[in-house]
Amino acid sequence: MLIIPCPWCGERDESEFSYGGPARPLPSLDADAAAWRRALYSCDNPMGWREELWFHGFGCRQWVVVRRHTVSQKIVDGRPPENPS
Amino acid sequence: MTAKSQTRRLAQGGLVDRTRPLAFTFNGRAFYGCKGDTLASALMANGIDVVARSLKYHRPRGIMTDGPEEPNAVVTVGEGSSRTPNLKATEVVLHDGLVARSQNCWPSVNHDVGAVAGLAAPLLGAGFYYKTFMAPRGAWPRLYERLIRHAAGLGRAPEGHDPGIYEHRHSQCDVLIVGAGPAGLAAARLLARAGLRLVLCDERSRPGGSLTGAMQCIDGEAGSAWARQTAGDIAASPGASVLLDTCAVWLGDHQLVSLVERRPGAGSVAERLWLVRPRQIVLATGAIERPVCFPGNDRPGIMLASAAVAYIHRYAVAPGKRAVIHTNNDSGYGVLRHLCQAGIDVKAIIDTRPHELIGEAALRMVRDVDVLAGHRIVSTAGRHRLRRIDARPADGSRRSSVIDADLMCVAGGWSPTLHLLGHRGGAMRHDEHDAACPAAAPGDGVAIAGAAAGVTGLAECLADGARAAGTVLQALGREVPVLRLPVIDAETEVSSGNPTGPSCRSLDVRQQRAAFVDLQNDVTAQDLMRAVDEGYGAIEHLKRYTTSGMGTDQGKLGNLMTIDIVAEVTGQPFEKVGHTTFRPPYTPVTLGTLVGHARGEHLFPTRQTPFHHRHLAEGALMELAGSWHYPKCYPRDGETLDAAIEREVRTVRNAVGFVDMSTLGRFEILGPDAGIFLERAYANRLSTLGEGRCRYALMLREDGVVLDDGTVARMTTDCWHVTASTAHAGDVWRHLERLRQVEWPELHVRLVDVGEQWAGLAIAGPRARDVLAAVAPELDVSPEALPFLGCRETAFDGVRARVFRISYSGELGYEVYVGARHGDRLWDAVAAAGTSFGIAPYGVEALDVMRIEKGHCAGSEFDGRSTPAELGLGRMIKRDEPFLGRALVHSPARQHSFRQRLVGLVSTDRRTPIPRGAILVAGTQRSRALGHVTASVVSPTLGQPIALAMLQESTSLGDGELRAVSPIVGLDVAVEIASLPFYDAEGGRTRA
Repeated sequence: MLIIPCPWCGERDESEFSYGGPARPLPSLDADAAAWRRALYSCDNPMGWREELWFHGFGCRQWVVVRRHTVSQKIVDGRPPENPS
Repeated sequence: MTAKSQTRRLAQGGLVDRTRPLAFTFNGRAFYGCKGDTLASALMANGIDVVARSLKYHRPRGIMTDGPEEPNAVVTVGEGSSRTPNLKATEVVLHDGLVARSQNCWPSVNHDVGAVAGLAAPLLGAGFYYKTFMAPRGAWPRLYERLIRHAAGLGRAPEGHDPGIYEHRHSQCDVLIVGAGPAGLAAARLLARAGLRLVLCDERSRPGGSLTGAMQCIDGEAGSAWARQTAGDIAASPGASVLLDTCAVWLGDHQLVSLVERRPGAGSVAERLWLVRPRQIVLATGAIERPVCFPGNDRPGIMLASAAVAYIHRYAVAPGKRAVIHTNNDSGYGVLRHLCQAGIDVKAIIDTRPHELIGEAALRMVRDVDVLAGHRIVSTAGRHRLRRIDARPADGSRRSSVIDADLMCVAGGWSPTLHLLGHRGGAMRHDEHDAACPAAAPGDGVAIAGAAAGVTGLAECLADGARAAGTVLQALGREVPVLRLPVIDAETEVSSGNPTGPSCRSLDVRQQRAAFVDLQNDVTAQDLMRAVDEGYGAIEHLKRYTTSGMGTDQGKLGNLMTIDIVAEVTGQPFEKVGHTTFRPPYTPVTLGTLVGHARGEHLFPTRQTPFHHRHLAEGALMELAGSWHYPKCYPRDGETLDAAIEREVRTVRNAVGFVDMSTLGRFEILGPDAGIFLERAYANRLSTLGEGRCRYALMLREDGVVLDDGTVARMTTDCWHVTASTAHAGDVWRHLERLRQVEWPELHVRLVDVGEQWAGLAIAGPRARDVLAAVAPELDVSPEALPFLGCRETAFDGVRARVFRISYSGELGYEVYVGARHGDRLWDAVAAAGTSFGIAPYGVEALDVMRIEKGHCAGSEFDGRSTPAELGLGRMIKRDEPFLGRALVHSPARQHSFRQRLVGLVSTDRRTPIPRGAILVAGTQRSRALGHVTASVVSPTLGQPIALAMLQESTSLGDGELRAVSPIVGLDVAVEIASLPFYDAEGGRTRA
């Protein structure tokens, strides 16, 4: 069970969150099917640090971005999504 | 009388309380043990040799160890619904009235018919099942599966409701110390002195670990007394707690450690799961002694040397009368003194090493006992207990030493207990003494102390515990307090130095049968050899092919022997062979412990609508729909379920009914950009929606699959009222918030989840307008003022209300929302206004019947796979404006003809109900599914069975060939495609 640093609520238990996948810019709504397919189905699956989205549904109900290490499961740098790092 | 029956109980010593006899039964026979016994020690005290039968060959098995590594003595404890199978007798704390039984034997453990399997042993080797039960294919379900199921498995699961109470507890602390042995205690006393909040746990009932099974003295008192005193001091420190009978079973991510506290016969709570989140962890988990692999190494009476000593000192039980010590290192010699103290006649020490490799300190301890250096055991004899041992020199000479003995103490060296560390994914390696140790540093927040870190010797372990405590304090930025180390009065043990190497190299295992590696699963050295020969040399393959290490003991004894044999056979070093993955839990955990309170009505949190008490007052049959308590239907006196549903449908179709809509997700979308936001989020056009109007709307995922449907209503220019289906309310909220917060943060829009603020009733039926007029007298309900898909804000009995003219049932219908706390008044007003029309509430079943009659999609059609085109909603999709999912909803893969489409079905004979979930096939072509039935009812309105189905467009489907087949209920129904909707295709009733 992970501890996720919510920028609004502090360190909270994983059970308060739901997972939202890797944090990555989606193509614009006008973009063609190929661009959307690339974005949805050809994602990186790094062995190491990755930014991802979590929804603090049983807390502040905000989407947050954290950096998680996919091997050690370390999580750092919780931040709101609208401030790109 | 009680003492008399315990023939093997020693007159003095031990930590058991002889004045507190405990009665228990084993296989129906009554016995007595003492307080402080485990089931294993009590059985041994009563002279019970055969405790269980082995899994495959049904060989008689006794007690081999004194802890969770026990492979043999697996029993069922308790009766009826509180029966727990597959417990290790060495872990079961004896209590008064305990009932235990052997497993895997019939008619009794001493006379087991299944033992004939032993005669067939040559045939039952590695991969037997894979090789034997191949063909014919048809024999699988009928014959092979039955045979295998009959022979397979260990104990039987209990039936009925377990009356035991299980609970979960959470704890946060500075340090968790796992293991209250010398190292753990030494660490904990220092950490407690430093004032840390700590938890010290140990799987045994007494603190002290190895101290309780030996005779060392610390600070002038017996080791066990020192341990008890120290643990008491620690427990008395503020912020510290000591948990005994508590086993750490899982070391998870982010320092989460699960502990299982077993509390047999102690109060109301049977077992407790602790979820501890310490900042630092000290693993003082000790070491497990290794067995030795030789032919006949499984007979009752053969046990680990350390276990024999523990039974003598901890439980005051003599494990035998005439003993042999079999060792490959010096630690075996230390056992001698303990056996002599218990009056056991030691016949010989059989050492696999040549004489010159035996340590001098070890040899000094030997008096009046033969040391057979450089010897191997070639066979053992004895039917229900060891009787004779045949040892020969390793040099191959045929000079044989036959020794009569009923006890063999096996000392194969020590393996540190590092399973918890392995749960983190850390690999193990083997050091120069072939002891397991972590391949890398344990990582942040974990320190290893004592025997678990490969430290030997009591003084060294105490010092190492203090060192680990220092590391922890440093990591936490605390001062290390000054505390004198305990003094060992007489160092009498012998370290396990000078091993010749791993245990099983003492024998050419290739030639031997019944040289067991995994005793629980009856895997022999020969099985491993065969598996390697057949190409299963990789350790993870070998494990699965031979089942070595897959028992309830998880190979705590056998895994190292397995690795060793593979290393030898394949000529690889230990490192190359590697090891299998350590998986939690460390010891088996009951399902009750994992479940805790979460059973029955406490399985998950449930929700009630504002009308809950009205539903109950109306006699509703309630059911759980997702997390909601929701009425199924409202049966009247003597009415069957079907009759009630039919009556409710007829009431709506012919007069008027009302239904609770409060479970829908309801969101307010506010702000100047709300319109743009919704236009992007939904697939159909919404920007043209005027104030006071609502529209059915469809929401897609990014990949073009339907996420949910609902209605979007524009209350004022900047205030939109949006609904989502009950099942998807949470998903839709999360999705919309993600779009707002993450994807389009530039839009000036706010979302408010108002689902709990509104109580909603839908009034439906030809007389719905009359009812609404009475309920909301200020509202002009005429069709001109409030047309179909109109919405208004109005007043109800002095409070704000929202009225939407929407219909799910297919009749004239309105949804009326008022503040949640006014729900009861709305209910009563609607019921009173409709009395003269025969109004009645209806439940989810009638709702479902009517939506199927109207061909509306719901959860079973929105299954996360269907596209708008498949559901016949393709024409709703806007072409010009961009929206989420547009790029892919039009992609070829979403449009291709192999996709399915929503169709209506009727049974060909118009009588036979169509089974729900049935597979649609063409004629007798059962191997190819053309689709499936998503919803099915017998329509009271049409007087015949109807169904909705997803059907693949198929050219091969001939007339009259379509069949709905459900192998589960054994039904096969001829069906025909019918046009949708089944009822009121023109929609005139809705628009009335």
